[in-house]
Amino acid sequence: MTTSPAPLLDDAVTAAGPRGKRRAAKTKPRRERSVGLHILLAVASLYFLLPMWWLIVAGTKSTQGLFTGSGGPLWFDSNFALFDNLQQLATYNNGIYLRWLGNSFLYAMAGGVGATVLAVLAGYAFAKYRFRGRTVSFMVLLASVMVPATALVIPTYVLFNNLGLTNTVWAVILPSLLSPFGVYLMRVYVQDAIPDELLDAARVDGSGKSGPSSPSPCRSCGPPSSRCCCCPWSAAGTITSCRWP
Amino acid sequence: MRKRKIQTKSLLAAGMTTTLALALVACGGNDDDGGGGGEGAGASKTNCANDIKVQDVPVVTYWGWFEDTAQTVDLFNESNDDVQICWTNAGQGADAYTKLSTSLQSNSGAPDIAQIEYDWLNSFLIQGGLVDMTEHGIEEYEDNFTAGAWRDVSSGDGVYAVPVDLGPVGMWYRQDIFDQHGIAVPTTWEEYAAAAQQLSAATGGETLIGNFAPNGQGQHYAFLDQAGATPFDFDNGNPTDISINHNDDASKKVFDYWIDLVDEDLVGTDQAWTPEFSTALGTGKYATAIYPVWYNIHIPALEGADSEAVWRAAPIPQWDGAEARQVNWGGSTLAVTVQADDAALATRVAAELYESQETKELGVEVGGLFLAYPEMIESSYFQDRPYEFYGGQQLNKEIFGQAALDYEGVTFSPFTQFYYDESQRLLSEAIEGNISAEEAADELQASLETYATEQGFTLK
Amino acid sequence: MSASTALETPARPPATPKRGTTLERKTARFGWVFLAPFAVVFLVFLVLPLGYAFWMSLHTNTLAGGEQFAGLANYTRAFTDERFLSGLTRVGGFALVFVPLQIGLALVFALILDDVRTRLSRFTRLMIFAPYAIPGVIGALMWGFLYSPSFGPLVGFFDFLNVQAPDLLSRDSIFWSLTNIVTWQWTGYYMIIIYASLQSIDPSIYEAARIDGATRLQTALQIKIPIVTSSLVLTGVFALIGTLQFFTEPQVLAPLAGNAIDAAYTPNLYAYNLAFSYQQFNYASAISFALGLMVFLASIIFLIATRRKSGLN
Repeated sequence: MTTSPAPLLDDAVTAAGPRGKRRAAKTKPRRERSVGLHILLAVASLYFLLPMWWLIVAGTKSTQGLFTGSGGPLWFDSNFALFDNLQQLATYNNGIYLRWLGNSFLYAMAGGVGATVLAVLAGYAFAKYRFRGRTVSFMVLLASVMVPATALVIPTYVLFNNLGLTNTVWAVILPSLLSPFGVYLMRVYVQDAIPDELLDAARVDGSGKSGPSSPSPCRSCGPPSSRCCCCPWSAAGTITSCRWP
Repeated sequence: MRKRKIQTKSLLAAGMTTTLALALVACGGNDDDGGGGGEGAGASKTNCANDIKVQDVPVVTYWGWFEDTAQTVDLFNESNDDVQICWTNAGQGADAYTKLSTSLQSNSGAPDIAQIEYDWLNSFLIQGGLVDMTEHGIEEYEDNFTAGAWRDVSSGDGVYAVPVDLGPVGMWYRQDIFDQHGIAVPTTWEEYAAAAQQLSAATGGETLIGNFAPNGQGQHYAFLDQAGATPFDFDNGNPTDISINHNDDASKKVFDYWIDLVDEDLVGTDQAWTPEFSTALGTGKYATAIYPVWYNIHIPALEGADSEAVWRAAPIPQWDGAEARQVNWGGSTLAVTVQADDAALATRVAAELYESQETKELGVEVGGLFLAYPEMIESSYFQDRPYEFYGGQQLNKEIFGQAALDYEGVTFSPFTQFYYDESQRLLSEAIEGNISAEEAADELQASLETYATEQGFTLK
Repeated sequence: MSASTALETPARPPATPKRGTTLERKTARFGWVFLAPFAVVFLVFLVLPLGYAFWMSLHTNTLAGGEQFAGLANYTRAFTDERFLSGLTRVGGFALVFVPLQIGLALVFALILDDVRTRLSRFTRLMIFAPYAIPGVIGALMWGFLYSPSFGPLVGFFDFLNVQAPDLLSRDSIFWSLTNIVTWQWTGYYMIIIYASLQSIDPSIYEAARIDGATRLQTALQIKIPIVTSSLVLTGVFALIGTLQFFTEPQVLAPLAGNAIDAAYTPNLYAYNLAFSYQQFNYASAISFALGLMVFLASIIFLIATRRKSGLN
């Protein structure tokens, strides 16, 4: 960073002239249009969008159209078969797909909400309380994600059998309540975003022996909590589709 | 103000979510109110996809995926009042075997009767997962089944499953392509190779005679059997002994034959059971498919199918100068697992499930099964069945019926998936040109021997 | 610590010379209260099964023999198993490519999106994150189709350029094909984490920087990146762990790319196949733990290398 401001102020500001300088100094999010960056963003959007677009288009094609369609792989076929396909999906095996969808939704909701709650509490504890065994617990937490879940399948199955919980929804929900990444995420975030002074102020204001557990830190936890919620959502979806017998 | 708005919104969201979740639990749960896990060993007897028609009788659990199972089980439950079947579809093939393995390993959760294909029986047998049915009087049913099928379910003196259906192998071919290029239907492998040359030359390589899939699995095993190879010799009477013979002349002959065709670009190398292969077959890139009778329902459903395609079936080509030999690929059995509460009862149920004529016809018509009962195979009901899609060709009478009756049976590997994976790996190497076909056979032999020794077998 | 205690009631000397004051100990104990729900689920559903899995890995159960205690024999076997070791090398290679690529891209996009605030940027943010919402299995399947010479648009694209389309599922290309899938899937997730950290930076710092005459690029490089380094380390560790445990995409693509992806393509896949295809559950456990050990070592090395920047002392 240099010390002579004038020649190094942003182009748009200088271009806008003296009045513009003052106006620009007032607006916080700068509104310069950088063509290069926009092109980059557009290209990125296309790249990330491509497979999903293909999926949507493919969903509207009949099997025939998928291979020899008139519009090519990335555009719709002349035969718009979306409703046929949806109907086939809904009636497959007496509507089992809707049940599966419902199950996935349930697992995602329950798992997502549950995992978020647990992770937020745990992350908060790690960040803000200096209790004995904190470092060891955290190390154990981190180490636990290093063994791939493949090793856990049989033992978990045996465990659930002994608990009598196989063939129930709990067999999927309970393991998905664990989100070590979520705890880690929350811990780092809480450490950075919730200053100790805020907590001490809350304590002094007398928010009770349990310590500040209500509005202000929770609100600050908002953004990463919603992200925490997203991770288990996808995690729950993936787990049900893939690993557990 | 803002705080209250947030609270209302959150409460609303939470409320809706909870309600939705509860509703889903209520109707997304089990059909009955049993809902618990297994009582001790064995799969849950209350979580059935079918209805139990008679209460207070022993229930036998069954995992199966035949198309006709729902109706077959219902029929059985209606006609038997001393035992009922509780059926679930635990997935097809590999999915079901994963679950079966897991539950056998964990000593609980396995069904009484499981649908297992012939080539996997030995693998479950070696884990000690299957009941020897000779202890429960299975021999009286032996004459109901073809010789080949019976041999496939036996090991040593024991019988470990009841055959259900078979997959006699034939050659499905495109009549229109053959006619267009004046190619005669090959009856020997030499003729097949010649036809391959002819077809490729006539179409500039656009249309090939067929495909050699590296993951051929059962198909390759059938080819080996046809050439007279016996890759595995194993019998559960002496479960620690095994004899592996995968690089004898017969095996090498088969590998050489196909890799030569691949090297000359006369056959494709698509993986089987992929959309790539189905499309290629459907759009006429391949003129033949050496597949069993059960492929007859797959062909009309091929993706990108040429609407002018004319498909017919012919017997599988034979080796010149050798005795004609019929082979089998696929087909399933019903085995009783060691976690069955009443193995004798389960054996009886398995043996009788497809016994009645009505159920057999259900199996044929709804399940598309080629049943392993000579009584059915030779019946005029079955022999005279025309298959519309194939121009009304009476496939069973002309080709597959006799093929099934002549099939002698084979011995399968006690470590099926490992064998298939290794075979695929080495054939891929050969296809890529990194090793020759003979080297592939030798390396496969070495790899299998090493594995067997590691697993505690004594090589004979 | 002393600053905060100054505001509280004067401390009685603690009964035993433990850390801090009585009040602090009492509040510290609440740490366990907060941690308890997670700890219970963790112990029952993770530690307990892990323990049993470890116990299983200490036994051998050959197909022809029975189950017997074997101590660390499985581990000796694992570390001399050529398929395991080559799988390890392969995921190591993946990690060297995936982690910098994904974190780098995530960082670049996060910086751009933090800077450019238009509708396009909001749309892009959604698009970049959307693949994360798609389960890994589905994503891999979709790309499997896209790569296919029969259905995918990519072949048409190459035809358009009059170039021979490479078989994207062949042995030569599978590494980059997989790289593409994973990058597409995960960049968004890491980007959002970094983006959130960027959002929490106090804007007055930017004011100060602008007054000092920093360009946007300089602001990005010299202010934003150093501040979000702890997020970068966080995402880096997760990316590393995830990559070393690479499983989903190879497993989904294996039927389509049989020549390229074998049963032991990655150690995690090897463990899975050992358990569920070959019924060797004990050895599979050992492989899993051996992999876990490698992951642990790699993470330690990574964390030590980034020790000063991680915010995790």
